[in-house]
Amino acid sequence: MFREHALIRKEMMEMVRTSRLLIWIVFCAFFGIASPLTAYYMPDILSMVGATENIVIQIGNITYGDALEQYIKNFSQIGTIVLILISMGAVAAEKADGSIQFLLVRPVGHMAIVGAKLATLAAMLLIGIAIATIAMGFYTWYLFPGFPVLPFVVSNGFILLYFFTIGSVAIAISTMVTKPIVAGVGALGVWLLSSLMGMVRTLGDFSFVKLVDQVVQTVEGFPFEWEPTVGAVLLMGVALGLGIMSFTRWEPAG
Amino acid sequence: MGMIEALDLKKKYGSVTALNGVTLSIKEGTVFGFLGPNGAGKTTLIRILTGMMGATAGSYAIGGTSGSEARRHIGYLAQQPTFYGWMTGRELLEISGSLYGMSKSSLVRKIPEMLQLCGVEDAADRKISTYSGGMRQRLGIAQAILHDPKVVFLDEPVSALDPIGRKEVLTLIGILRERTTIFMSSHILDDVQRVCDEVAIIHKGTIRIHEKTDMLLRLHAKPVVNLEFSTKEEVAKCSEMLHNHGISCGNANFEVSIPSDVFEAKRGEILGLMGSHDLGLERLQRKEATLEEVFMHHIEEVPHVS
Repeated sequence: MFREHALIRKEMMEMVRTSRLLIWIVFCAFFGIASPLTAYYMPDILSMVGATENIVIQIGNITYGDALEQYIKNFSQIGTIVLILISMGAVAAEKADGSIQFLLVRPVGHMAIVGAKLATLAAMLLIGIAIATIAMGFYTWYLFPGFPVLPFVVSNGFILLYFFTIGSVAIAISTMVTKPIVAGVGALGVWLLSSLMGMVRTLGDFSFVKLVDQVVQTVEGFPFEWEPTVGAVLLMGVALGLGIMSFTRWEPAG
Repeated sequence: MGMIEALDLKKKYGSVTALNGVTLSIKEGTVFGFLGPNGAGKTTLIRILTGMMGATAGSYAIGGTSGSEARRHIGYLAQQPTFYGWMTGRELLEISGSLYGMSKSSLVRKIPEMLQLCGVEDAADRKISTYSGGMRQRLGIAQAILHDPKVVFLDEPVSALDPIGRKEVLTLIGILRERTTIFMSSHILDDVQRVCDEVAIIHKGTIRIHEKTDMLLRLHAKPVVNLEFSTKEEVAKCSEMLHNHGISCGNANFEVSIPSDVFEAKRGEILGLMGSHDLGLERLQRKEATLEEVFMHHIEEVPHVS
């Protein structure tokens, strides 16, 4: 137990000292606050733009659905890029600078090393998404009467799973390569492929990118679809399985 | 049974053979010097014995155990130790000890002791990224011995250090010999001769010789008498003249070297030849046997060692 604790402690310290946690928290807080505010003030913003251009822009009633749409869009697009940038060096950077040898000569398994990184990723995501949920939940409830706060809180579980999947894939690819940028490009490729796969009938239902669609379903009180969750678990299982296998066989060069 | 046992270890990278059947047995408490030119296979063997790398064939045991169990009994310092720059020295030791399963109370007791022993107590709470090369090396030794390992592997521990850092680390290795078995690779022959009880020379993946240091020097290295001249022409002339008189010798730069026993036996003849051939002998100096001669003898293809 000491060993696993020590590995997690090391990863947690690294996350804090290298400002990764701070970057993620600032990102989550910003979009948690900005999404409902942008939606609420959108008519004012558009009328100001229209006034300068001598045109009249008419839009329908703004509802919490608009705030929710902003939130999901910001998170699933910019958030994915931010998370890949944060996670791509997890193992690859340690291989590249040689610091991974510190762990490899100690009586800890490769799986435990990756496990600690995943545990830390989960903690970081949980903290960030909790902050985003509180910020978004409060402002949307305050600005848009009738916003179903509790279903929204529950629906963020899908966002958490979505990010954990993309973060796990980035870490898994990071265990297979020695350059963080390669891991980043690889994770981005998996994300884009999954997005394309999402457009294919039947098979596309299992694309993990559809997890974010479940947020609206849940908030609106519809039952969620299980296929994206299964797809996410399968993708993580395959990526991490291959990653750990490759990491176990990896040998330092030079 | 030795503390470190390697039996016919082989390592291949495609068609390149890095280790070609290495067999070693090193007793407990030994300071073992592992010599070889760059690319001889020193780091590869250390990486296999520390569990960082798998062997293509053969087996090994550390303290009678192998695989992940063996890793509990070792400490390791890499050739160019790269630690987490964002950690402090004290935190590195805390994490290191915990990864070996040390309890909190033993960490509280041992860490200050190690920091003091390795001379990094003043910098213990500074980030490692601010450490000098020598400090990193000493911190590296501290993390390698914190958990009282049975064997400490030091991969070229002084090769990247300045003379002061080198002296400090060698002194530290001298202190460690009372605590543990040390396996130290190096290509700095003087250092190995100074601190090691046993020496093995590896070349092209094969152990060429393995012997106790004093025995090695006694059996394979002989003291020489150096005749120093002011010009290289005189060196060449002297060398040719001695060969013509059946006196074995070697030359380098401005010196002609004659085995000490040969010189003693033919002292009169040699000095007489100097005078009769009008060679301006600048200096005559007896040089004690060194590992360099043994090393050069076993690594004949290598012209010189840095």
